[in-house]
Amino acid sequence: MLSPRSYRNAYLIAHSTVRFASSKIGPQLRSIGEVEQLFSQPDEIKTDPTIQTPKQSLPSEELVLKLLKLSGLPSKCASIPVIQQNLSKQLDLINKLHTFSPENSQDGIKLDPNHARIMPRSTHKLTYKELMEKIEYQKQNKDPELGEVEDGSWNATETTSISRNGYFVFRHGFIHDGN
Amino acid sequence: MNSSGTRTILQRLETIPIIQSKYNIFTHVEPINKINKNLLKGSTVNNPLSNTLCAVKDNIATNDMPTTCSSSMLSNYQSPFDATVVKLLRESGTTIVGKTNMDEFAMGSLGIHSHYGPALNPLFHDVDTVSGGSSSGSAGSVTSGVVHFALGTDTGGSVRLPACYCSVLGFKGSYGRISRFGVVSFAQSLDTVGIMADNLQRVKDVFNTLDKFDKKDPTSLSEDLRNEINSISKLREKRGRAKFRIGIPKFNLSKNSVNETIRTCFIGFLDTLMKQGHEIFPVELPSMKYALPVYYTIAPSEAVSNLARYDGIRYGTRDEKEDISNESFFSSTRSKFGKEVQRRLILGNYNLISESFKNNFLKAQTLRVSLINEFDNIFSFPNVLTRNQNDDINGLDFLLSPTSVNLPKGIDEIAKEKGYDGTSSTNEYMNDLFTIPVSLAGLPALTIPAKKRAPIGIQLIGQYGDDQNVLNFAEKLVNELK
Repeated sequence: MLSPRSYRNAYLIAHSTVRFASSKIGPQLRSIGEVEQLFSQPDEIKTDPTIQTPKQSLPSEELVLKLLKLSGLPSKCASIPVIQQNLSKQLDLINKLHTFSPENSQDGIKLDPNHARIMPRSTHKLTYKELMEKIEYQKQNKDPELGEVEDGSWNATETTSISRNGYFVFRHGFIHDGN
Repeated sequence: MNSSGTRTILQRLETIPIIQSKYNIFTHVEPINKINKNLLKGSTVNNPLSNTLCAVKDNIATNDMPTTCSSSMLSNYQSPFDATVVKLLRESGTTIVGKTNMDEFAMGSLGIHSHYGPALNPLFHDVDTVSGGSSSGSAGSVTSGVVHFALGTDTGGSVRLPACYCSVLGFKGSYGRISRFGVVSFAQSLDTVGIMADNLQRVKDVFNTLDKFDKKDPTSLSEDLRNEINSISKLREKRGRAKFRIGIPKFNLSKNSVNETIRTCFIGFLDTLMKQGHEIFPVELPSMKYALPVYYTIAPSEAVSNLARYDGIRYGTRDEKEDISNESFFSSTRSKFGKEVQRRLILGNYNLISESFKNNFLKAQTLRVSLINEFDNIFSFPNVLTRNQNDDINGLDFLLSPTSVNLPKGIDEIAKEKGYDGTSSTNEYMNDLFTIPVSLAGLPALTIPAKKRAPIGIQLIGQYGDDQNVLNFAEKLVNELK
């Protein structure tokens, strides 16, 4: 059974989605008076009643413990109520995402989240020949600064001092200290 | 090395102990005999950066100095290699004075989340005031006159905001222009290396030194695309325009949203531009209002992945007593992360768990695409990555905004903002309101001090790849502000 708060939040999400609009350049500002008028307009977010963010409820203790474990952080001496409050404040900020509806995409163009990375969106498909050329180039141009060693592989057990029957004992750290 | 240059450098070096004790700018300072040796070596290099002093943010790898990221986790870590940017700087003849204090793992916008204590703002002598973050020490090292320039990193504003608060120039280039090889990752789709200096020619000289393709960085902008951008720029230069079309995003500019002094300064600056004949236009970018939640979804999620390596085995100071606590591996070691880092890791994991991934992370990614498309729609310079249609005739050359929402606060004032129960406010996240949208789209941006020695900045933004034009136009603006 959903709580009254959950019903309220679901209602707000359903009725708060913003219709996507493309970016626009307005008419030129011809005087400093027009600039000041622009600056005196209230911010859109404060006046548009359709843009409401659903209020975040306090994350449960169970959720916080799960997140601590996923983060590799100790739960033994953790102040769970403080973490709950902090996370709740952060999620209040993030929940604004829920007022955006990806279905109302820009000028009918579907937005692909894979394009979020700042890299070329359309890339050239590698041919078999190009792939083999790249492999050959890498073999001939090893970069020691990247840890690319001559024989092409890392000897995982070179730092072991004891081994028996395929089992190895490490007595040193994996990281070389540069000496 | 001429005598006036020598005296100036000597004066700078002599101030280090005083500046350090008062403002806590450095996490490491090189011994004086090593600095002198490097100065002598650098003086033989025929480069604009020879005979200069610089500082490097402590999350950029140096093989002869510690790289701690201002964290207890890396307090005794020394990298076996130099970051590409460090290598290029050394080759240019500049001398690195030391590593600068910062927010731990670049997470913060005030400069108060360092294991070594906050880096304070040298503009404020009487009241302990924040420098801004996360490149707090780098900004302080320039404004205090210790170094000619400093490197920082900018993920959501971490070069521009401290540069603004310390009243120096702060430049974040287009994502991928400057190599990230050897830069400790916070959020790899957003991290960039930035430059802070006290004069624009120096910013340009440093940028020209570092703006190179690096095959060791898989996100480095390719040579082909760099050449394409250069060709487009040259064609546009031939038009010989002296007046530009400048956009002002209609976002967070009302009286209640931004500090009145900043607002007044910004309006005054626009007045100057209009009198010079530049055309000013209001711009609507509907996705901009989502920029903060998008950033605080994506960045902490990427940080979760990037900071997973700090387990005491691969990296990090391993806990002496235990590896497992309450069925959680390496949690004793990872408890060495500071509070802000821990808060962001928890938030990042929340955004990635199956219950939230689609609604939070994927939605944020989609909104990020939307914002990039909106920027492409209003700039006249084409985006070589997206190949979105640009408007060559009616599009804008640059955007302008204030760099910060507020003036820098005192350390005591910020301490009072914490909740009575020790909880942290998200007010700090609001500091990056103007800088984050630019980071999400990977655009080049420069903060210019609005007045000499005042912590107010004006942010000049260009289209992706149009870094040189941003710097060239900035030269005109800086001259006007004089």
